[in-house]
Amino acid sequence: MLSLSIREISLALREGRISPTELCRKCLNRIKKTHHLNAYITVTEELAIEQAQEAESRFNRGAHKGPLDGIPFAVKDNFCTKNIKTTCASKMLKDYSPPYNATVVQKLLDQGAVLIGKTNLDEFAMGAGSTDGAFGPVRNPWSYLSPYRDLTGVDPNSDWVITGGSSGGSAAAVSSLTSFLALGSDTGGSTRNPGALCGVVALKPTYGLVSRHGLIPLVNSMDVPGIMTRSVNDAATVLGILQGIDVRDSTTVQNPASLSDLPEDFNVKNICVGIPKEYHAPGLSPETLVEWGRLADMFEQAGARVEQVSLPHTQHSIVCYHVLCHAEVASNMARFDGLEYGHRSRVDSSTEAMYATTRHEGFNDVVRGRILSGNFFLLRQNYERYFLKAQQVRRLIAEDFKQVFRSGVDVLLTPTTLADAARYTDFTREDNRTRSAQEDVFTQPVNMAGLPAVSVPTTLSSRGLPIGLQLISPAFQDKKLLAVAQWVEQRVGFPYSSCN
Amino acid sequence: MIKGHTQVPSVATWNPVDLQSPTLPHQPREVPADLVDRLERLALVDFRNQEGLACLEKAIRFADQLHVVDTEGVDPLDSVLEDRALLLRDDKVLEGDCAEELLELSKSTVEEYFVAPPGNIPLPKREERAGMLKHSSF
Repeated sequence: MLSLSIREISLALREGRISPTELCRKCLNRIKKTHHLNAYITVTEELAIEQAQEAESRFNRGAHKGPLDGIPFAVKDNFCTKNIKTTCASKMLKDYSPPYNATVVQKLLDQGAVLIGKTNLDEFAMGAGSTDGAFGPVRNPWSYLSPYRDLTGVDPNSDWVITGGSSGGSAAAVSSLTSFLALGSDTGGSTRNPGALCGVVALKPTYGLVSRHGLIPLVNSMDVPGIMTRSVNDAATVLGILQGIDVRDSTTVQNPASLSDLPEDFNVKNICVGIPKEYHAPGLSPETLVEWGRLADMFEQAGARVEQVSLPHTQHSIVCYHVLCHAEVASNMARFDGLEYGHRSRVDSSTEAMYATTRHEGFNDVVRGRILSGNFFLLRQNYERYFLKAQQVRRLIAEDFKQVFRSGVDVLLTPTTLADAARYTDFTREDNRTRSAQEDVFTQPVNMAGLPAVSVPTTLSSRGLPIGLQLISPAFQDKKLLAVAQWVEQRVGFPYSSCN
Repeated sequence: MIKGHTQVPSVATWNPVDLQSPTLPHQPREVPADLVDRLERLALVDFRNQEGLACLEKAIRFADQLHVVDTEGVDPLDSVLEDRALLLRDDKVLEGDCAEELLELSKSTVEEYFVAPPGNIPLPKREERAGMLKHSSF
């Protein structure tokens, strides 16, 4: 039951083959069984059972709300949940309980979905491994499955692989079947990266489609709530519910196209798939390269036009992202001073001393490092050289995409990550900044341009670990993007439910 | 031979910039002590140790790569939504009156006030700050 998609389990609920409370209990039990993954920071057991009971009474009356009623879901712990601890995996917020729900959380709850827990992440969503949070790293569920164990002969307890990040807990939750849907956030790839490494569908909608109200901000001009599921159709269903103008988020826009069901039989003969040559970046693994080619062939054999294209500023994108990200982070992290919420140091000689010690105690090295470099780039003597320069380069990157799409390309096909999941022991040999710079290479240009992108798992590597590929489309063409993604999904037959 | 396969380039199409390269626009490598102090005061975050400082220097060196890109005549991009008018809601008060709820979140309040230590006192000098931070515990 737990390995079903949202569509399938919703049908099972409506047909009475399982009840919402039974389903909820199964998920809660599975969370206990997979405790070693450290995917959850908070499990909302009592609340979930309450919500499941309410769903059950609706189903019994024949008055269920919609496709998400009674469905257990998980939320990355940087989304505010009313009266439920929201920590951002940081000491700064370890006892913080918001007085409100993020809009996206509220929308899911309004649909009758059952909140099962808050998932683990890199502290304040800064990282590409989900290894740098205050509550420990997240383990990739695939570390414990037979393909990985048999093919590598390692003991997963000592040699487990990472989930990727920063939404690693959400990816692990969906991948390990403890939840049917999880929300992540995506600023430079934080939903797509762990989605690819954990073998789940990971969607980053167009910037502006989904409200950020209640998502504790990292980079206001790039952050987007992300959706992780075990089928493309599920992701489309969830996007349909989450998208829309929110008066509490002034950067939301109305999607011109409505998101009704995806076409079952999408015809790729009418589309042009672009292969951006710069996405064969240094460090791309041979296996991912082969998989990329295999998918390109698949499209061509089915009658699509497949063309190599160029996004000339790709290689500068990561540097540009680095500067803009650090600058916005420096600004956004200024709110954490211990006065109105969160951790507060005992030093009280002056406000400045209290702020400084609070931030010293509350933030880890990664966060502090980004704040300091962000402040450096924003110094008056540096503002033009770094911040404005980066904003100019950002325009060039966004223009690259616009140009390619104007020339007739409908969707771009690229790798999502350089390789399959790394072992924790290998990954941690380099610092967070270096790793983020390496791992985000294919994902962050999309955030800079505000485009929709989805990572679809397509195969297992020679180490028995998932490989995902990324599709990118023009802004606000999320539906078409998902239609193409579903076409791929139907043909690759990825074993989502291996984690059984 | 399948044509599609040849669309994916078989080798990497670019190389990472060598951060040690002499052709990178030169910037002084070390961050001077007074700048370190200034950054710590602005950010109200400390470097903690030499490693933290080294991290900043690496970050700056990395960012210097930006300067190889020709941006002559290019406007900075603030927002990807710049080409449209965003929604302005009506100037009506829809919610509020939640002072009690918000005050509960703070560690130190008196009636409807957040209590702050005395202001207008600059941070101590860097040498003294190290002592202050060392004694803070968490």
